[in-house]
Amino acid sequence: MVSTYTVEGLIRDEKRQPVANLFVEAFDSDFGSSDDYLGNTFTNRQGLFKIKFKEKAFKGKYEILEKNPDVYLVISDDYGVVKKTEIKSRPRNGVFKFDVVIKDEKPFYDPYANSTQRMLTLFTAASDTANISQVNPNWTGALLLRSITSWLHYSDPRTGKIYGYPGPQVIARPKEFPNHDHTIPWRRTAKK
Amino acid sequence: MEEDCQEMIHGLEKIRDRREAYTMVNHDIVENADVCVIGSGAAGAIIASKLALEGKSVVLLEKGGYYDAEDMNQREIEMIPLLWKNGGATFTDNLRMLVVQGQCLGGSTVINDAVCFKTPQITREQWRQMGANISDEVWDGALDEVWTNINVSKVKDFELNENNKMLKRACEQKGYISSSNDRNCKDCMQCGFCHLGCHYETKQDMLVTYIRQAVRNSDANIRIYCNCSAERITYDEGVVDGVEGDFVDRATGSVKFKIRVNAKVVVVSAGAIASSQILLKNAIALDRAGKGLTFHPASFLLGRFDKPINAYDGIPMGFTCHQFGVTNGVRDGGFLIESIFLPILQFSLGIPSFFENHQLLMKDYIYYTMAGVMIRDDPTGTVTLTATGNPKVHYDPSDRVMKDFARGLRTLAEMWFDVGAREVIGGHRDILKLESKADIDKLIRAVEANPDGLTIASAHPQGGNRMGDDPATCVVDSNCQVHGFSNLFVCDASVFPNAVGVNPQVTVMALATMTANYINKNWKNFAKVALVSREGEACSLKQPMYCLSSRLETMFNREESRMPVETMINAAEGSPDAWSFDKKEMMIYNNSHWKGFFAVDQDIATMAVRYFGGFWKRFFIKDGKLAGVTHPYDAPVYADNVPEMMDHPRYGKVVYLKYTSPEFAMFYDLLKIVDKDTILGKAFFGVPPNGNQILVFSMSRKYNVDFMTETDHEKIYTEHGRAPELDKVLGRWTGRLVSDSAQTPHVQTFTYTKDNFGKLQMQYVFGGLLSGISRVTLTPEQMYMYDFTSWHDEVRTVTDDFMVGKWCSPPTKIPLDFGPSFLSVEDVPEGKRFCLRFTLKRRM
Ligand SMILES: Cc1cc2nc3c(=O)[nH]c(=O)nc-3n(C[C@H](O)[C@H](O)[C@H](O)COP(=O)(O)OP(=O)(O)OC[C@H]3O[C@@H](n4cnc5c(N)ncnc54)[C@H](O)[C@@H]3O)c2cc1C
Repeated sequence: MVSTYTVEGLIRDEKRQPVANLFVEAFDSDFGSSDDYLGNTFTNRQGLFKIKFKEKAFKGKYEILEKNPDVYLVISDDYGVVKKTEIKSRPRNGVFKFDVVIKDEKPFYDPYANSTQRMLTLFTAASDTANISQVNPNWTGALLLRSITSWLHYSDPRTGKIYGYPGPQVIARPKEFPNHDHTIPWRRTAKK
Repeated sequence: MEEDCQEMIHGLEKIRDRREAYTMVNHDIVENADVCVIGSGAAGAIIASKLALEGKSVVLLEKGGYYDAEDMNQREIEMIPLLWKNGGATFTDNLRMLVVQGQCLGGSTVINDAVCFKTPQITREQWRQMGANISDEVWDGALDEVWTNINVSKVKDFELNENNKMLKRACEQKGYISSSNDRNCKDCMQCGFCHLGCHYETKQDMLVTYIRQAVRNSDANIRIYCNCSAERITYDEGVVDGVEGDFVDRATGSVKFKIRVNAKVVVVSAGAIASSQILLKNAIALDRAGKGLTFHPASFLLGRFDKPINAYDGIPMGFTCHQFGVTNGVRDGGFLIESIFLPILQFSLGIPSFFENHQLLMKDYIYYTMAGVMIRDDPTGTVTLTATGNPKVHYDPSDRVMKDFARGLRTLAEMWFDVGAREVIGGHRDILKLESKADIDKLIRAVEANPDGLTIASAHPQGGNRMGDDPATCVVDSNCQVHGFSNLFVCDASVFPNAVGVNPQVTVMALATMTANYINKNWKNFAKVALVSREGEACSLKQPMYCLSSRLETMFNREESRMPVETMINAAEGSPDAWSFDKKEMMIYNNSHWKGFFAVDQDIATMAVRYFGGFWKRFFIKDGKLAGVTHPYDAPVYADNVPEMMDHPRYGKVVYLKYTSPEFAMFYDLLKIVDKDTILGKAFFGVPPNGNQILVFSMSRKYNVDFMTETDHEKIYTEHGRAPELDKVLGRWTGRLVSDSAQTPHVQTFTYTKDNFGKLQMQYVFGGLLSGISRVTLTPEQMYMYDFTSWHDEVRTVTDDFMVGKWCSPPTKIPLDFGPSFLSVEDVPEGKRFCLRFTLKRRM
């Protein structure tokens, strides 16, 4: 049983480059009570960090059962937390080693999602640009109706096919299938 | 900025496999650059790219998102909201004419038809007569440079599809001068989806030419911010010092982050309409901007044939009839007839028919030829601002324009019949179909009798910020430099002195080329401009009142308390140096206490908390010892406390604020003094060091007028306010209500005009909804405004662009001691009254 512990490690980004100047905070995860704070530091230019702490930092009065601390790290940059690591409970000679890769874990954004909602947002941006007194109500009503019915009607590429229009020549989600075909199936005017 | 962020495109959306290096924006940004360019279309991309390649550091702001070829999936319903401004729903104010523009990285060049016309000789001469002194040599040099860089080539005969060929045949039969178009397309795939962005990357738009060239050149210093709408241009006495903007979430329209760019030169290239909007919003060239727009309006005719034309298949705009246009020496007005075709949704939206008729027309979609009559129109359009700052476009085509339409439609209808059309369709609401040449007269009569019934649309808006040497009538000089400003430029389609008469992109690009060359050549003059170090509304250690809670949290955790605890001591009550106001920077220095600020996204900072619930803390020496008191603005509570230094196991050196009175004894604050006027704090419940955190906040002795308290307002009103002068208040002002706790959003606009008798009147709009007219009276003390209610406004001028005012109830004898917090109580000779305080800014 050691009385001084060390948490150390290396933090790198997705390209496996070390990240400097990250704020690393070490905690001891306690079941049923609030977690003990073990210490903090910044990563250096090599992405390395080291935090030392003593047994009393995690062994409170009532935590007699606690043998080794359950260490996890909260890592933040200037703007907020970038990673909370998993818990490590087994030090080697009192050293907890962390090899952390910071990834952008946000899911990819679907640019095509909610196109109708986005249309409405865009519309409202233009909402007060009309002069109601100058607007011809009959014509405008008809225009609106035509817009809505057209939008609903032709949002499905199959509708156009009824009239002999083949529609889009590329797959709907090109980026999800990077090897998709780039030739145009419909008749192209050929080089003579 | 960090080194690794250079030469990058930044934006809010994480989309897989971008063609160019791309980083997500996840916090406010402060940038310093030589040049800030607003808008990345035909003009902005060229100026930014050329200057970056010439060694200037450039920041380019683009309102739209960054989508590359592999995002362009040819589906109208998915691409239009991504690439078109307002989802394609931009109309003139009478909803008569649709105006299409692009809103994405690359601007309208991403969605255009790639047709290239050099600026016609006649136009150049006319523009010179109008004071745009650009020699032919300069024109030719710039046009040639653009022509090469965007890889223009003539549409080859085999690339003309049946639609284009029909127009060609018709021209040949009539003996009209005509030709295949030049296009900026390399090995065009002829898919016909130009308006939805080019999936094959063959269209040589700004994305794949100028922008790519700059971002892939490791020597070029350019940062591009997408999803970023430039809102403010800050300046003083004709010298611009930077731009401020908002990162806006596309799905919800909400502002995610802020940007401030300090720059030596600012170029506005937001395109026609938007550039005028930006100038007007920022009170630049107020009397000239937004006038003289032209639209190159088009009206289309379909020819229906017996055999399929399949016009959708192939280059949409491949051929032009020059006979009646400026390209054939026509000096006044005139028109071009250009082939065009549209994918099915745009087609359906565009034909002026309804219900069963519409169905019948759509049924023949593949049997149509289509071409447009595009008029070189007169500069009769205007852009003004609505109450919410949107651009209102007004356009009445002149009689001459309608005559040209009549002539053009007659010509085109004849041409379609000549080459065998069974019917000719479109154009006018009152006569949808022409069954033979004999019906053409009916169409023309309809156009003459009911000009408003003619369907017209524009993809070529231009003008509004006229170029010319006369500073009294023009916005920019012949170098695109704004008259009266030493380092502000406007360069895009908005500077055209009148209609160019041909499809405008190459002319825009040539002007941009000249402007970049001019800035570059005269750089030594611009280099002298001192770069300011403003942070706008960006969150930072110096101005934590703009920060999100996650950022405040990490700032608190990471920062050290750098100042001795005595720094916290406030000025003695009533001492003269306790309060001052810097009119130039619009900053309040208030040392009578520390004004508290919550995080801008604090849960409890709902609308209500913006008006209620602020607090201040004051520190002083009592009996030789440091002591403090905390006071929430809206409650008669003064909680005594004692600040002590503490070495906290987690936060290091902090000031521990212990509340002494029993009712607050369960609370404590930890403070870090990060500079002499800024404190970061956390509030806890419990016993240190193990309390539970309730809140993270900041406190400051220095804050912008947007955060002023009612007391600040009163001081500015009485100590710095003067009676407004009639001519100086004319125009549009946007207002905020004053609240003690935080910044409130803009809630009202006041527009001052002279009525028919030369008397001042004011139109108010609250929350974009409630509007009305107030009578205005000027007295030697202040300005009064009265509407139909019994309350009235009193307003004073602080600077030319800033006024403070209050909306007050009639006096009453009823004792009013403590009102609802957003109303202050004032003593007047007749008794007491309630007042709602507000500020008015001329510039957004
Ligand atoms: C459907 C269509 C087809 C066309 N076809 C042709 C053609 O075949 N041939 C031709 O010559 N011309 C064509 N044009 C016109 C041509 O594309 C434009 O005239 C030209 O691109 C105008 O250039 P610009 O720089 O003035 O504006 P744009 O290219 O429109 O660029 C302006 C950019 O500024 C951005 N912006 C606006 N406000 C802000 C703000 N507040 N902050 C930040 N960014 C902002 C916009 O999002 C936009 O990206 C077509 C246009 C359209 C819409």
